[in-house]
Amino acid sequence: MKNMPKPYDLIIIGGGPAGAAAGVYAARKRLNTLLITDGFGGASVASAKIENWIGTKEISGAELAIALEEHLRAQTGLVIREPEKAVAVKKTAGGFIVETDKKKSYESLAVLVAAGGRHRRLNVPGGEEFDGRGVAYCSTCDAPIFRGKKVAVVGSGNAGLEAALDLSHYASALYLIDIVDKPTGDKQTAEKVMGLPGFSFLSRVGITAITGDNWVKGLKFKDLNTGEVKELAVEGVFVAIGSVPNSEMVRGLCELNARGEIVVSRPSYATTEPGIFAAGDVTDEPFRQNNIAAGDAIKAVLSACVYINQINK
Amino acid sequence: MVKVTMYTTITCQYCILAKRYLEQKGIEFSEVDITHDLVKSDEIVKKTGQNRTPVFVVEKDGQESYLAGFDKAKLDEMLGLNS
Repeated sequence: MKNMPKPYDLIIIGGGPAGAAAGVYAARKRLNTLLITDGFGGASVASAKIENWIGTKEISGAELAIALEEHLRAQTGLVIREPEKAVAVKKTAGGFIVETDKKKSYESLAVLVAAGGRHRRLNVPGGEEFDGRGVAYCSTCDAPIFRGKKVAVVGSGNAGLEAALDLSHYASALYLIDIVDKPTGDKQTAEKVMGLPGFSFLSRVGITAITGDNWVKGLKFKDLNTGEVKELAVEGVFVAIGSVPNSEMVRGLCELNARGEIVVSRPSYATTEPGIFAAGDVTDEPFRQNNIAAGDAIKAVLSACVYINQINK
Repeated sequence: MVKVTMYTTITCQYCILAKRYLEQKGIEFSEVDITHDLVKSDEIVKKTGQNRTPVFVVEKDGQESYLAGFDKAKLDEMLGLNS
């Protein structure tokens, strides 16, 4: 009979701050660990300047991604599969199997899901059709392409406000659109944006469609006060309306809340499925911060350690 | 013979990671910074039909193919690399 490979003690899914913290701690605890990720850095990669990563006055998204990757690759015994994406986690008699987009399967006693989130898409007619053809999600990447054009930013949280600031160097006119009365992001940033020349804040407005032919030519919106539907001529729409947790791989296995976030217990960061732990933006943690994600992932790994040691007794 | 050109913008973080990736793989490439070059920016947007950076233009066997956005798996496929 062919020898089956021994299962890993722990599989970590994700390479952002949560996944990286988990990987470093798991390796240092000498857990036989596999880390699977489609990339390093997490959601903050897109940021040109991060000023609140503790211990670092200022770091760019790319620098953070590289630092996290290098810290992980320096760990003895940590196996990394990248770029590879976990698509399903299944329960077995001995633990779990994690299946990936490369049609591979890996077995483990425990799993730590640190898969983060992805941009919430603009779910209106034209939102997907014009993705990449006027609809964009990364202002640090793409703002210069909209030089001299009229651009709308949908969402007035911190991501939307920062996108507006990025675009203000290039756009001929800038609109910030949200369903709320006032920007929901940091007051300091909101004040900077509201003071920009050529800027308009369309509040209490809901986007109903993106229009155009080969490229975005405009958008339709509903005035939530009057019910009136109006049109705005723009050639760019930057979307910053939050994120969706990458929790599909454990749907049906772990409890998810109404937003699709993995429900975790504190302080263990255990999910409702024994042996599965989770941390970071994929969970029901209300504060989406890199430092919090890293700290929570460490607690999750230490809890996973206790779980694994009990199995291995 | 494969020729790779990357179109980038100055604040694009994925562009930095993509350059690092190509360097690690030993792939030579030239870079076109379109941050302040409206002509080159319009040219690459027209070629790809996309407003996304980085853009990779890979010339191989007389054919040009494009990739907008840093997708390692797709880039590896275009370059004939194993990932």
